[in-house]
Amino acid sequence: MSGNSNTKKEGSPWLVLSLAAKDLRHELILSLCLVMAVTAVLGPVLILFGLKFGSVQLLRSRLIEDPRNREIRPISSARYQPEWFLKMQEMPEISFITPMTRQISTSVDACVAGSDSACSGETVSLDLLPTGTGDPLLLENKGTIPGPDGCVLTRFAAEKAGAKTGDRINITIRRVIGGDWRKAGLSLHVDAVLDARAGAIKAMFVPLSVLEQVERYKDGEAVPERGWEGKQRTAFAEFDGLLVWLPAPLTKLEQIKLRTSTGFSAVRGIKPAGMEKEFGFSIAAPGSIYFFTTRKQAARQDNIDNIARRLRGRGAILLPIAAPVNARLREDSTSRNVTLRSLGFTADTAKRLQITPLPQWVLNPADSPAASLQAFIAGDNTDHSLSRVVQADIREKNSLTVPLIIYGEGDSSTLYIPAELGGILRLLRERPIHYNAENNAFLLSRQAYAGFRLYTTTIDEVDGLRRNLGKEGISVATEADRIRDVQELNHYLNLIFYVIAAAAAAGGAATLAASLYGSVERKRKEIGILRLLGFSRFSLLRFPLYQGIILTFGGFVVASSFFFALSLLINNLFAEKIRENESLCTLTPGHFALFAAVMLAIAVVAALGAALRILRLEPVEALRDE
Amino acid sequence: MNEVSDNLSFYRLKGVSRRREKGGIIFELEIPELIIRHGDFIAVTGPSGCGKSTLLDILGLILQPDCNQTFTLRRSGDPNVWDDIATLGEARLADLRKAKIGYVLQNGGLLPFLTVRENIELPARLNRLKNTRGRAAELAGKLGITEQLDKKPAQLSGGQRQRAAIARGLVHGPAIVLADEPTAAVDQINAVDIRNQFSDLARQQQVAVLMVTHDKKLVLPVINRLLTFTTEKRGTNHTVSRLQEVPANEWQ
Repeated sequence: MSGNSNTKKEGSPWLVLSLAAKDLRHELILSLCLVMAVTAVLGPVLILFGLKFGSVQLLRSRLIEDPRNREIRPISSARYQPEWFLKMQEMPEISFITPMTRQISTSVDACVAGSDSACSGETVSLDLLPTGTGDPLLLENKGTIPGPDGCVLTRFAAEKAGAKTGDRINITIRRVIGGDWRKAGLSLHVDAVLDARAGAIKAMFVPLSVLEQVERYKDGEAVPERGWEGKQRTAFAEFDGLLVWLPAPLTKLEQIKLRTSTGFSAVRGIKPAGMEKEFGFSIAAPGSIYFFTTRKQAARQDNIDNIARRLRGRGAILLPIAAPVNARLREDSTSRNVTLRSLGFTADTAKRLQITPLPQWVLNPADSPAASLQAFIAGDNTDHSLSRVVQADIREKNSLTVPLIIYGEGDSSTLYIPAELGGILRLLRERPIHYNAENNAFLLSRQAYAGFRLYTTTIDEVDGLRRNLGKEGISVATEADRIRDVQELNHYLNLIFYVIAAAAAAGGAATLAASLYGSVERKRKEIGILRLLGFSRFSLLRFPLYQGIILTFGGFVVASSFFFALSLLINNLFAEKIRENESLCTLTPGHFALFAAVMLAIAVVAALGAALRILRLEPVEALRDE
Repeated sequence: MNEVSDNLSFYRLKGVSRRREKGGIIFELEIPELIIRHGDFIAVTGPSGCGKSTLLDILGLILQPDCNQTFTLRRSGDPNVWDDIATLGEARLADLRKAKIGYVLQNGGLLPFLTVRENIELPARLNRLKNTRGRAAELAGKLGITEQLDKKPAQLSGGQRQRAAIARGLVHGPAIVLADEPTAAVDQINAVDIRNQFSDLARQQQVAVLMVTHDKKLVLPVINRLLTFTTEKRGTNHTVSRLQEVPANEWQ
C-alpha cells in the first residue's frame, strides 16, 4: 500500500459535517443547552410575530371579507345619469353598483301575508333598497339576489316583521298629493334573510325596477305595470324653430317685440327662392316669411303659442320646424335607413300657402302626437292610399322604437311625418322617452337617479375610488378610516416587532458566537490532531460553521414546535372570539422560510469568530501544550 | 543531489535547523543530515528538551525549519521527483501529511467524540481509500482491539488506546509513521506487546517508523537505526542541539 498524494480534496464533502455532528452528539448535554439557548431567543420572537401577524391578518381579513367595508355611499343626493352608471360598471375596481332612488321614496309599510293574502303579522316600516346581480352585501351574507317579485330582508327587518324565508310580504305605499291620500300595495316573496353582519338596518332589498315603481307612485305618477293610478308623464314636442308666414311684413320693432319673452331669441326674414334648400319646401303665396329660432333650449309648444297669441288677427300661419330624424325601418325580415322629415302643415294650409312641392297626401290632423304615428313616402307617383305598419328604430342620444303607419310605396329614403311627431322624436336628443302602446302615449322615461349603492372589489381600492369620485364632485362616505387604522396598526406593530427581533437576533448571535468560540478553544487539541491527520486549515473552518448551523437549526425546530403548541393554545383560548378557519396566532410557510434564512445568517456570523480562531491555530501549539 | 540512486530513501534532510527563542533563552535544533528509507525502524532518544518533539514536528510538516539546504520528500506517484518542502503551500503540505504520514501520539491522540472504529477509519476516509472498514477491522484484529471498536476512546485502557492509535497511524498505508512516546504511559508487559505488534505491522507494510522514546532498552530489539542528540552551549543563553546517528556497532 502506498500513500495517495495526488488526492486534492480531503475525504468526502460530508466528512467535516459528520465530524462536527458527532462532536455535538458526543457533548449531547452541552449541545442541547445551546439548542435551548437558541430556542429561548427564537421561541418568543416567533410567538410575538405569530400574534402580530395573526391578529393583523384577522382584522384585515374581516375588513376585506365584510362587504360593508368595501361600500362607498354618496353623502348627498345628486342626479346620476344612466350613462354614468354604465361607465362606473365598466371600472374593474367596482364589483357592484346599482342606481338608487331618492331616500324619501324608500320608506314603505310591510307585513307578513297570511294564507288569505291579508296581513297576518304586525305592520312595520321598512326601507326599500335596490339590489341587482352580483350585490356582495347580499351574496356574502347568506342571501340571494331577489327575483322580479322577490325581496331579501335584513335580519333586523325579518325579526321586526316576524318574517322568514319563503313568506310573502305585503307592502303598502302611501302618497299625499295636494291633500289627496292614496295608497297602493304589492306582494313580494321573501327569497332570503341576511346575516346580522349585513347591518343593523330595517331594510328590504328589492330589484331596482320595484323601487322605481314605488318612487313613481309616490311622485303621483301612474304605474300601469302594477295597475297603480296617477298622472301620466307624457312627452312633449320640441322644435328647432318656427316658420311664420304673414300677408304683410313685420316692422323691426315688431320683430324685436316678438323675440322678447316669447322664448325665441332670433328672427330672420326668409326669401322664397332659397327656402327649398333649407326647409325642403317653398312657399309661393305672396307675403312675408320669418324664421324664429331659440338659442339654448329647443322651442316648445308654449313658445309657439306665445307667437300665435301676439300675431292674432294678422292672418299669420305658423309652421313648427323640427330637424329631420334618421330612422331604421324594420318590416318582416328587411330593414332600411330613412330620413324622417317633419312637415307642420295640413293639406289645407299647404294649398293656401301654395307650397311646392305640394304633397300628394292628406295629413290627418291629430289630437295627440302618438295618434299621428304616420309617415308618408315622398314622391309624386306614390299611391298614398296604400298603408302598412312597420317598426321604426330611432337612434338619437336616446333610442326609441315605435310602430309607424307608412303610407305609399316606393323606395324613397325620405318620409314625411307630422310636425308633432317630429318634435317628439327630436326630444330624444335631450332625454329618454318610451312609447306606451296600451295608452298609445309617449311617456317621459326616468332620467337620473338620486343616489347609488357601490361596492369595490377589494378594500384597497376604496380610498382611490373615493378620491376619484371627489374629483368628479361626488362626496362619499367610506370605511376608509377603519381600513387605514388597520394599516397603521400593522405598520407600528411591525416597527415594534423589528426592534424586538433585532435585539433578540443580536442576543442569539452573541450566545452562539461565544459558545462556538469557547468550543473551538476547548477543542484546540482535537483540531490540532485533525490538522495533523491532513485536514487543511480551510476545511476545518467548516467545523464551527456546521456546528453553528446544526445548533441553530435545532433551536429553530424546537422553537417552531413550541410556537405551534402555543399558537394552538392561544387560538383555543380565544376560540369564542374568532370564527372557524380564523387564527389569532399564525405564521405562513413563507415566514418560517424567512426565519430559517435569518437564523442561518446569524449562525454563519456567529461561527465567524470561531472560524478565525481556527485559522490562527497552529497544530504545534495545540499538540504540545499538555 | 548525488544520493538519488538510493531507491529506498524517501526523506532527505541536509543542513536543516530550527531556532526557538523563549524568555531570552535560545534553543536551536540542527539536523546536519537525515535520510529515511522505506522499512527503517528508527528510535530517537535523548533527554527532555533536546529537540525530539521539534524533530517530529519538522518531519510531520507542521513546523517549517528556519533554514535548510535540502528538505525533500519523494513523490509517491513519480519516484524520480522530489518535492521541496520549503516551496509547498499549506494545502499541499496538508495533502502530503494526509497521504504519506501516520501519527501515533502520546496518549494516543484519539478524537474523543469518535468511536475507536471511526478514529481508525478517519485517515482512510480522508484519503478516500476503498474498503476502509475492512482495513480498520483487519488492523484492529491484529492489534487485539476488535472488542473495543465501537467504544469511545475514553472507555479504553491506556494500552488499548495506544493500539488504536497505531492502527490509525497505519490504516491509510503511509510512507512513515511518526510515533511520540507511544509506550510511555503503559506498563512494561503491555509496552513489549505493543512494541512487537507495531514493528511487525510496520515490517509487513514496509512502512518506516520514527519513534521518539526515552526507553532505549525497550526498542533496541526492533530498531535498525538509533538517533540521538549532542548538546553544546554557545554562551549562557544559547543551546544548540545536534541530531546524530549512533553507529549500529555502538548500540547492537
